[in-house]
Amino acid sequence: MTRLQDIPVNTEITGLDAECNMVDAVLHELKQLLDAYLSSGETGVIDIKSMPLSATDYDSLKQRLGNGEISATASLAGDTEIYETALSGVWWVVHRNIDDRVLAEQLEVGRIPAILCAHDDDIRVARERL
Amino acid sequence: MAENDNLGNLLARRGISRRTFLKFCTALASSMALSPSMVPAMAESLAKAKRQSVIWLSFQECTGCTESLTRSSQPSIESLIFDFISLDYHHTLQAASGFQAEEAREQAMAEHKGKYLLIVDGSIPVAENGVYSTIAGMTNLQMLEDAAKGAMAIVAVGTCAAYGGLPKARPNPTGAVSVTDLIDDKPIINIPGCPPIGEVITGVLAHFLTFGAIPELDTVGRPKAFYGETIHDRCYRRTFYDQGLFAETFDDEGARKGWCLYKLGCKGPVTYNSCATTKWNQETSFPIESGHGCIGCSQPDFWDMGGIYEAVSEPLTDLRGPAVTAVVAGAAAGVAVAAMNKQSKQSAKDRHFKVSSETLDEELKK
Repeated sequence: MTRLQDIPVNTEITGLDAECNMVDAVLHELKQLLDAYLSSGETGVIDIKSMPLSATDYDSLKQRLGNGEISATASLAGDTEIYETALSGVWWVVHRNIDDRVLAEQLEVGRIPAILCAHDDDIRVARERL
Repeated sequence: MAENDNLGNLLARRGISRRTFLKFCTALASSMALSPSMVPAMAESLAKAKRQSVIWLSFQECTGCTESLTRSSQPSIESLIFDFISLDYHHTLQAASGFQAEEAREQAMAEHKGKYLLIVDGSIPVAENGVYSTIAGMTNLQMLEDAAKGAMAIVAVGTCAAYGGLPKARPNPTGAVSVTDLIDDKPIINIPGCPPIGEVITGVLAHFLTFGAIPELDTVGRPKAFYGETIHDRCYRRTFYDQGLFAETFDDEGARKGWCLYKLGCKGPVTYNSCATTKWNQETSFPIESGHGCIGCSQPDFWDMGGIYEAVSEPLTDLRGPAVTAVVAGAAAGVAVAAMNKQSKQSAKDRHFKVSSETLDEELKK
């Protein structure tokens, strides 16, 4: 059966769907999170999915942050894609479920995204298995 | 599953790593508008959560609320939470029927007295001592009063349970009322919507399991995390509203270009819900994204708020305001006639006829 997301929907590009200052707001917040990390080591996260970003905003944000040196895919009941942006310490993290639907999308600031770190409980189980 | 089992153990048994669980919690926090920085603590707390007994009572309703919850995509935190709770009574979902089903409800009420979570969907008819809706010979009114006594908290799922919904729409022949109209000695969380978003229902359950308390509520009993902002505030078409660009009809240039639907009766500016960010049908879209205005289904008495296609000029939730005259006239005809002109409204009232969709179409064309 054709899924809803498989039905193509074309919207007219009018030029009016332009950036509504959301990109600048996100970049400003990133600046503050980087300041916080550099001064106290505190990591930070921006929830992109809950922001009312237009498609233009979203593309523009991706373009302005660029791609960095590292990318990874974690298989966690659906893929989680992680890549470092051109700004070192700023990570773009997309969590998808097995239907490839985006569950959460975040910008994470820190040395390494939390999702990449193993949990102590899982490490304990690993030890028991040896 | 043992009574004292916790969610972390359930995860381990199912081979779900804590990393995966962290991912689910990230999605949950995002939908609950919680600060992303709370996710690690939330995951730790939720993993330690004990199994919660839940009794679900369905009264004057259409089962849309249950459909909304059970049809959320799999696997997800919703299905995980839903599997984790001990759903001791839900007459649509349980295998037992008849006496066995009612026995299960009574047993759960006795065993978990003071500790179970009571979920209600549907309004409660109170006219003629509640005879308009009965289950196993008990009126909905009796069943609610009985079950509420031993409940730790009550969750009113859907606009019918939360505010009376469609059954309460004028002229309300069954005397339908909401849970809060009847119960005043228990904490009550309203999760309105027709139906509510599945992720919102489980989000509230997850909040309850994580923090062991009910979330912060607004003045009409809704969790602020999901109902804190209007559809309009989070709408991707908001920029067109700000620029004064509106669709005037459903097939004009503005409609094709996706401009704001305010003039076509969108109730987004007065409706508090999270459709604009959480969305529907595996996040495909929400009504406005599909080209139709919001009808305000999570607001009290939304069915009597006036015509679906009439532009909002002021907050419409208070029916004691100027809108009341039109609504009463509509009630007399037994239909929503707010879209009609004054003359035909009077005519409908006099002749007491039912207005067809064709009549409304003609009125809209005027």
